[in-house]
Amino acid sequence: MSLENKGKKTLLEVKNLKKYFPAERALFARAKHFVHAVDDVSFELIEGESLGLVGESGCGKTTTGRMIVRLETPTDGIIKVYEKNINEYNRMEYHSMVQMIFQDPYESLNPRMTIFDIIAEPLNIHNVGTLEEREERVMKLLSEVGLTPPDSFLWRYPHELSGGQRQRVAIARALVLNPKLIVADEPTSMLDVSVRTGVMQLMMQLQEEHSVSYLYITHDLAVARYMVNRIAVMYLGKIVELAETEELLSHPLHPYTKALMDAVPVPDPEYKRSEPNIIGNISVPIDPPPICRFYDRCPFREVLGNRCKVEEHPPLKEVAPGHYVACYAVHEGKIMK
Amino acid sequence: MIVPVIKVENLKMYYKTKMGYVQAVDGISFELEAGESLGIVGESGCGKTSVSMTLLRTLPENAHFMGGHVWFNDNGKMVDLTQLPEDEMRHYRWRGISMVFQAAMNSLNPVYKVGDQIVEAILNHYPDTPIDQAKAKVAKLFELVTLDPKRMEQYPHQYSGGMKQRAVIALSLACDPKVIIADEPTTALDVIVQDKILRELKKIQKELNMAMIYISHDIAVIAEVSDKIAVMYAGKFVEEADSTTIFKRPMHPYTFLLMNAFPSHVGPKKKLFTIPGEPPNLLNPPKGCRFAPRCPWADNRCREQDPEYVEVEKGHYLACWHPLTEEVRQNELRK
Repeated sequence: MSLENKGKKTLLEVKNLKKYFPAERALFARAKHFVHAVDDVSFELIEGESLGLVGESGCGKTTTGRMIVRLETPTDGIIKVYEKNINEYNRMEYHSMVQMIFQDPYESLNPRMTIFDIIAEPLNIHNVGTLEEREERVMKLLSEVGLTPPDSFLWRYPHELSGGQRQRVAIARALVLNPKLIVADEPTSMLDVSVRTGVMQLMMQLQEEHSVSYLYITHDLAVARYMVNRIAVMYLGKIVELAETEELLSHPLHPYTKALMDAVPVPDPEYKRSEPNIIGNISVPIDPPPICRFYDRCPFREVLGNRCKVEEHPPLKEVAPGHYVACYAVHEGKIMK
Repeated sequence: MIVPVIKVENLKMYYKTKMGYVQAVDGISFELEAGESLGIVGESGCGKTSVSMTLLRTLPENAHFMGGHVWFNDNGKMVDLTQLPEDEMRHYRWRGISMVFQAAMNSLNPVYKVGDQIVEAILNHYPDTPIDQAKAKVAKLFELVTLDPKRMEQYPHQYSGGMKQRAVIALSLACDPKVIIADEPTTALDVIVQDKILRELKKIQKELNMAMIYISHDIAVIAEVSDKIAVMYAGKFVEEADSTTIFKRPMHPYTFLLMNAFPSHVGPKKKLFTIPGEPPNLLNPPKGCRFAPRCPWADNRCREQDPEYVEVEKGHYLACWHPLTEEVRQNELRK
């Protein structure tokens, strides 16, 4: 990889991760059908690097993130942090390394706690420092996330803050234990444009200062472009393409990635987008057939005869340095940059 | 001379609350010709949805109309919709101006067949229409929004999100309106579905030569659907011009910062601008220019006197004491 990460440790390793949810279960009956929300997902994250999980709603990006913070138990597969299975850590150990920022800052902060209590709660749980030390740490974090002067925020309640300020509190809370990895699930999608850039820049700056990695979950390719080193595009529970951010955006290869990129409106009235080349509508992966998950919607499904129809879902294969694609047509050179 | 389909003059609407008046729509003016589309872009709480509700006069009880005119071109005769009694206003609602609502998922009645709901809308406004004719019309509308007419017999829960949105667009077209207001019609949809709806909406608008008012917080979407764009901030329009001018030569600092705060996934990776602070509370908006507290170019006059909204060049309206010049814009972008 061309990133300057050589010699750094692997922070997160996800291997063959699966999560199946039961679908339409009758009372007391055992589930017969399953939604394959996350289906055989593997990736790695090196210390200090950030990875974006990008996809439409229902692609399994949030479920993947929730399994990594242990809010959801995998159906199958392994998640390792610093080469150790995450189930071998106790809860306290684990959450001092891995934290989460949620999408909705109106839901994720307890309305009956003061800002100080919200940010200091992890310190209380982990029994870190004396009260004075905690207060000092909270004050320092508040000014780092741009809530200044910090003492004017300490004893306020979430309802007194705007959406952008609340999200800054959520970021401070996630950082208070000096974690190594933060799973950020659409942290800016609820914020207004003028406030959003501020929060994005704050997160980038904190990443450097605290040497933390983000697993950044978003539906927005343009936001991901500014936040992460690498992007993994997900479609119905599978990673279909993974590459460095600029490489992916300038040379998308998987037909789904191409369609997705063509579908995103561009803030320039003179830019003419080509029409996304994709068939039909997204479905729910209930007991999906073992073939390529994108088959039904793929405009290139017949370029290899009936191979895409009979063979199993294509593996993620490296087609250029650091650029992985799960598509037989790309592997065979039928779809080019 | 081209006569506009709709001409809005100094429109004002405040909400009355226990704490005082919220100045949600505070002196808005614009006009629109047939076949033209205006995008209104602004952040949440700037009053853009209140504008559409005021135009249609579908206001909640605590809303107070505070003045202004909405001139609607009824076959050459300009009618002021704000002055009409409610029963006459009904005549213009849906037939004159119709609306595609924000929450398409909730604007269909779950216990009626989708086709019947649109037939009902037609019969409500044109009671003399024979039912077969109304049904034939709905079938045609379904084809226009690329829905299979067989789906007229289905209920909303059998539709996907994108299909519901199409049905709501068909509903808004039921009475051949001259003006259609689309209020964030694609916000809840995924991008690939959004793309299809936007393309269809644009095509239909041009085909039927309707005027369209498209309201959104998403600058990229606005850029694609609008001929001209009005930027709204804290209850007022701060700038209006054709879309290229708004993007390439904005004169209002808010417009300039907003356009450059928006990330794009194509083209060179640009520096993103941030706007310090937060939008003001409209219960007690700042004196002078409402953007002054957040504006890097603001001086004492900005904080004291509210700039007037005037035409600075043909078709380019602006409310600012210190319009940005090309030099200032280039300097900022180079920083």
